[in-house]
Amino acid sequence: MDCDNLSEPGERTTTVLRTPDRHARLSDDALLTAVALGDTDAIAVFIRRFQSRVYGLAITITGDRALSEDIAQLTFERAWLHGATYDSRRAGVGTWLLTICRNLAIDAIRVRRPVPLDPWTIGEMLAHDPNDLPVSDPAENVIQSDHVARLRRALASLPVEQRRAVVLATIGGRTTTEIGQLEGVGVPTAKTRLRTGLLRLRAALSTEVER
Amino acid sequence: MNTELCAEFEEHVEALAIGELAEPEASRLLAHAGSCPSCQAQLDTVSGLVDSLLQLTPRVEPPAGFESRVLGRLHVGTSAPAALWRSFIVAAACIAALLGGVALGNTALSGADDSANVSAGTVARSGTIAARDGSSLGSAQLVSGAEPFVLVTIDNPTNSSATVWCELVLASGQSVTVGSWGYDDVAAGVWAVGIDRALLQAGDMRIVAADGSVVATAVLE
Repeated sequence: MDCDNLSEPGERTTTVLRTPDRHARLSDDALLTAVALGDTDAIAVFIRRFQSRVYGLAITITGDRALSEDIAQLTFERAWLHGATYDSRRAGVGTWLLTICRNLAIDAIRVRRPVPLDPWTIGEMLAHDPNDLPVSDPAENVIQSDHVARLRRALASLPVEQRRAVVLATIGGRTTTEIGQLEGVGVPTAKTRLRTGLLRLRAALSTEVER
Repeated sequence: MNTELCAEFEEHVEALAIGELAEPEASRLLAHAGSCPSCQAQLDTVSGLVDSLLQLTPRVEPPAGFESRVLGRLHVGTSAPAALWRSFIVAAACIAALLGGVALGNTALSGADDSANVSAGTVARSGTIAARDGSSLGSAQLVSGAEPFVLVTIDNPTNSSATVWCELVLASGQSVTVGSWGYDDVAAGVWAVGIDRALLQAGDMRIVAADGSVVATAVLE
């Protein structure tokens, strides 16, 4: 235990363990629990930890900076309000948060779609270094990094048209009708590409796990 | 199991997972999944895959001042909004539920969502918080897990401007101040803070007033 945290009997040291540094060392789950408990230091750390991913997803889907900031703000507001309903058995905190963001962004672009999405932009974005992950929890990073690397390899193993359909539908928030328009194919073809792509992706991930 | 509905579900499961399917079709098929384990499992698999792909999202730093604007939107730092109290209460109730039915005050439990779940670990030590006159004020638990924490429940919080400090006392006699609270922090009947793992061995808790006097204690077993 860190001796700095000790105090002699009767000595008054306040809130030694509630500093932002302390929160920065918390796992994602524990940090969200603290957020749900209304801990203001935890909320600030939580925002800092996830803001680039949340904003990144919002801007990937909407292509509009102002709208993306609104969506990202609303995402954190939802997390703050509903953090207690998070179920760690279903998904990691990051995935849970990004799912909130994705749903909000999709709702937003279905009302107004500011910029048509270029599928190659997403493909280019996916080429980023898989090790570009948060530094808050090194042990957790190793696990996440490995998982992300496996996802990338599995995605890369798909035929390019299926890969684009999967990425456009998931990260890009596009419907199969929109994918068909972007790719110059009919909706049935777009649906087939998405379905086959997801099936192959699942199979590829299973193979990765078995290795 | 409804073969016709199952076939229809299979046809649309990807659209459901990516949120493309319009109402009322989405609700109709989701209702079917609720009563069909096979279709529900199929949806969970596809949805899990879609969600996991979100981890590949490119990182983009938001404009300067984003954090402040979010905190401002949440009204953090000013009086606590109703939403904060609700989440505070629900989270506390969820932790308590996982701890095996820790008795929270009636106020703290109102509005709790039974379906909610927060990773919380297991109780390493617990005890009743007793006032100097011996009356019970609530309970304290030291909770182990990935991130150990202490959970204090107060049965009937008293509206007071005073701040008290929570100390954990190790067998060696060393005391560690783990945090402090005022009435606003425990009005909902519960308070929690992360602690170092070594403090899970603490045998006593002391609630200390600003003048250093011990106002309550708990023997943790």
